[in-house]
Amino acid sequence: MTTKEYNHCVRHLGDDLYRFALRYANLSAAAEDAVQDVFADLWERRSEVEAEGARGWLIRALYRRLVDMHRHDEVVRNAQVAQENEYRQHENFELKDALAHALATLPEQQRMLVLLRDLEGYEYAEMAQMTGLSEQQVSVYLFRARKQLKKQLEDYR
Amino acid sequence: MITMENYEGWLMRYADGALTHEEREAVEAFLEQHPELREEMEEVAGVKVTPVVATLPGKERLLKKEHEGFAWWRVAAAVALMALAGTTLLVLNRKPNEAGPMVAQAQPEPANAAEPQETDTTHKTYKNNKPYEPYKTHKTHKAHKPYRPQELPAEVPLLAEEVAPQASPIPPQDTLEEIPKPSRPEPTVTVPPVINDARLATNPWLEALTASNN
Repeated sequence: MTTKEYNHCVRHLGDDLYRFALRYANLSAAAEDAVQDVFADLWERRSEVEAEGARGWLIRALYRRLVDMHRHDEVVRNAQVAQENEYRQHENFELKDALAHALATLPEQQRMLVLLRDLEGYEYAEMAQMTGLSEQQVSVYLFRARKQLKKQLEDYR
Repeated sequence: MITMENYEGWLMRYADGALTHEEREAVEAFLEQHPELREEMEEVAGVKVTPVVATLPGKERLLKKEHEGFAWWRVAAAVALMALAGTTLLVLNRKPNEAGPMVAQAQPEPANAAEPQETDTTHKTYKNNKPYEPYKTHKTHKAHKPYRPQELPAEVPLLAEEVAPQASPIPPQDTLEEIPKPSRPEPTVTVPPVINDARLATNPWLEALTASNN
């Protein structure tokens, strides 16, 4: 990957990665950090990454970064605190972004799978490969995740 | 086999269109037996996460300068420019020389005037080598210079600019016919002469030439 192709990735994939991370972490600072880290990593390894596979490479790197952040409890704690503050500040916030709140209630792995499927359009085989789950497990988690989201959204209406 | 224990995954993949034809038929048969699950499946499948409207802050800081790829272009361009400049300088430096030989050609004439036969042999050399261009004729002179004292006057361009004017009137007519050959008319040839015999006399090369001519 050339410098030009790297810059193209930043310009054209940066927002998508940020939105993905924002949905996952629900906290702009954490999402921004994760995406910045991933691009720094891409720059370091640009000689190994082909431009055509850059999006997949970045999503996988972002996935690992977010899971890592979650394990260190950064995302969960920060997101919960931020969310509670935001809900207190804006009475109608839940109506605006109930989905963000609903997502935050999901187990980390289910949340990731829903985002991979809905935001990035990943196939079951790809999600299974990325997460190390079987396709059957992936589909079960997705079903439960959507069921939970639906329940949460109904509670806010 | 689809059961009440594992139906979630099957229904999810059914709703997502991720099943083979046979698997789809199996799921449809299962839903025939459990119609309440079809409603659940359709509700669940309708829940989609939409992207947040947001843009990555600090994107500009992530961009890198794209000069890497152009480094060799720049080097190549610099080399090309230098080569061009060098060539231009060469050409520019040649111009005085170009004028030089023409004058130089005129200059030996006074000596030749005394001995027309010498003139003939000299011009033979000219014609044998480069008949058309006086510029190249000069080269011939230089090439032969070490060996043939008769052509030493070609060296004289050092003095040529000053000596030139006086050269034209002295030569006989046949040499004047030779002079107009250069494509570029040489104004110095037509300028009225300034007698410079003293200088000619003090030029050791010309002295030698005159001596040999005589």
